[in-house]
Amino acid sequence: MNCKECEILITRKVAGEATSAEEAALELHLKDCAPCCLEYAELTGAKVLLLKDSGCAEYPGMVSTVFESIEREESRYRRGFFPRLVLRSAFAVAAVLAVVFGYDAVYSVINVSDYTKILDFAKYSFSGGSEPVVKAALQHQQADELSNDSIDYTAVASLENALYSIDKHDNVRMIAILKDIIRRKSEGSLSGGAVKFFNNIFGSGVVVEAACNNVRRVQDEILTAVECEKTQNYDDAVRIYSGISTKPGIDAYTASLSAFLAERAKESKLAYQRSANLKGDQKLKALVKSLDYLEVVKTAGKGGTKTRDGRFIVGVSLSKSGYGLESALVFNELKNENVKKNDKKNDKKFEAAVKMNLGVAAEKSGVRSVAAGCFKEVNSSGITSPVDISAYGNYVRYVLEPWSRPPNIVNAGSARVQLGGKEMIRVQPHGAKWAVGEDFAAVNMWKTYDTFSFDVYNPGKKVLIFDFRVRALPDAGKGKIFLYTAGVRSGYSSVAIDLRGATSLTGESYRWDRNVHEWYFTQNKFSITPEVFYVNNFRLEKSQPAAVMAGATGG
Amino acid sequence: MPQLTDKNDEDLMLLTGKGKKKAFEELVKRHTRPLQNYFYRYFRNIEDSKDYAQQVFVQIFQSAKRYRRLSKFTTWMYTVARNIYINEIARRQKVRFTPLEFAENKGTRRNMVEDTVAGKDTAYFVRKALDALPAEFKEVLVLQVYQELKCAEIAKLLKIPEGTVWSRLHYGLKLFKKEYEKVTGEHEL
Repeated sequence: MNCKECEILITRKVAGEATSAEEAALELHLKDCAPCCLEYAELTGAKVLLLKDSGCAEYPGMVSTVFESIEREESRYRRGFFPRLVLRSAFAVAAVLAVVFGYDAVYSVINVSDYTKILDFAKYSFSGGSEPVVKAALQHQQADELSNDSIDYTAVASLENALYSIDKHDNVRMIAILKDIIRRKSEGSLSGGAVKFFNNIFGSGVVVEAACNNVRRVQDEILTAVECEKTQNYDDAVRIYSGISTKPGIDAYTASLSAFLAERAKESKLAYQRSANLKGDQKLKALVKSLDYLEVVKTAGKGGTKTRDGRFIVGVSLSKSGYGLESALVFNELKNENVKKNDKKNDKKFEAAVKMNLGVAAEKSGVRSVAAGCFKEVNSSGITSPVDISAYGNYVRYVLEPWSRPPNIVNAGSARVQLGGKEMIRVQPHGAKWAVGEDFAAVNMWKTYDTFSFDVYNPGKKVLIFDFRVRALPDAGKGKIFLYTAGVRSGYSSVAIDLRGATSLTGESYRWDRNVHEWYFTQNKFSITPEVFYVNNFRLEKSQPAAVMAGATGG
Repeated sequence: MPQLTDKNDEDLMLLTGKGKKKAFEELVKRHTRPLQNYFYRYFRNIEDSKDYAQQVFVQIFQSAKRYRRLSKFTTWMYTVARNIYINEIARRQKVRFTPLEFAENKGTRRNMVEDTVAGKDTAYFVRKALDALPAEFKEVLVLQVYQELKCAEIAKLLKIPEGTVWSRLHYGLKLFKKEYEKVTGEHEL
């Protein structure tokens, strides 16, 4: 036995897992090998030392405390309040609502105090399991009438109970409704809003996931098929789904679910094929439907697929530009990668980002209470809202500031142009003016300010990604640099970059107590068209009057 | 008829799944201290450790019906515990904007209490040295040395190859020794 092999045996011996043969072999080797003896002594000594810490004393009342907690949890369960289900359930319920009544009904039921519809809905859809829902809705109605409150959240909570009833009693009904919507879609008899909302829900996979959870027996097979769909192996997905639905002895619910999913996979395939001939948003929508997330990212931001960081930037940019669902898909992909790699560090962050952006999508679709549910869940997770990007850059907030006059680009060839009655500075990274900013900052002490703000006009239809940099020392490569990468939606936006808590490229807090030598911004390397954008009205802001950043010059 | 105390953890868990609360009570009695200590090694706070251990038991009880004898009960239990630990760490990292002075004071106060209790004995230095280790080494040391899990179980729990566990244990022990010498050296200085 050589010393390398002996090393393994030493560890096994110290761990108390060596067999008697291994122990004998080890003993033999140690007799003649001084270095291994030392190694053995060192490891044994370390373990003996570790065992000197006996830890803390046992808490004597654990049994009763545990049973009290269990009792509390069970009483919550009996009351039918399941906070963890809020997101999934609310989405699914909203989807079913959309299916049954159409988009307008979803909006009116959830946003307007119309309990009659909720009650009718509950009676209509969940006969047999709906009594508690109806009771709950009536109670909420009375409570809200007394307090003159909004019904949004309580209504969703009631419907959430209804969904739980589906889980328990009437899954077949739910699937029948979903199948019906597909039929109505193909006939073209569904309102545009309902189609849009339905697509959003299905694009997010929330309903599919919920449905999978209901059929744990074949869950793995269904998830495998979903993976097939995600990798554009639609034929296999259809084969697996169809196989499930024709299995001998399969229950009616699972059979109808898998038949429905097979139908969806066929549609995904068609969407994927169609996407090749489409452009812009149409292409993006088709890709979302085909579950080709990577292609979605590519379409959304060229070059952003190569690295995780790149995709993260695309995700944040999409999020900030109001593409909630698309952004959620990007983050979901990143989250799944993390799970695969067992990288727990960012799971929560990405999960929150997914939920946050689903909320944005719901808000965009007009289902504000569902969005509220998403946002509430993100907030209660303790993660900085809206999307915690603190580990990657710095927090930025966007305020849409529509100008009174429509954009009218004048003299676009020069550095300064008139846009909507304002003079703006043209940034053309790949042209002569590759950056805009100040080589010698007019205001060089930024410590007393909270935000750096400016107006920006993105003339393109897609998200524009740019870098904003601040440097305390003049030469490149010297001194810590503050870099912020942000995305700007099409049209006018007012951007505010939060200077508090800003970090340098190396992840340390940026020291604003040093004089700022230069600041500038330019397009990011992951940038997409347009390659020109316009900025003006730079200002450092706090509670005190703004300091105007005079004389921005080309770099 | 065999007593509950004679049964192994897996049998007790199966009985719990069938609704026998006494069986679960026995499990809680057996594992309270190890679980509490598991969390204590990470958070160094007795109250928190008690709460997290309680959370683990509640989760285990709620999942009892789904329990299958696929792996050792302790492996499963520590998987639940580890998930709670990871979530808690993530949550704590997300809590931002705590005034610096407050955070420092809090830490100092806790350290003072710990110092007094520990009286700067060997156990105190062992804790210091263990806490200074990189997370992956500390995790294996805690599970192997204190929680007495076999390396194969640790590999299953952490979802890493068994060889990696052995190597982390080996280098973890060596690193710990170095750290221990460092902290005791600093103290003497």
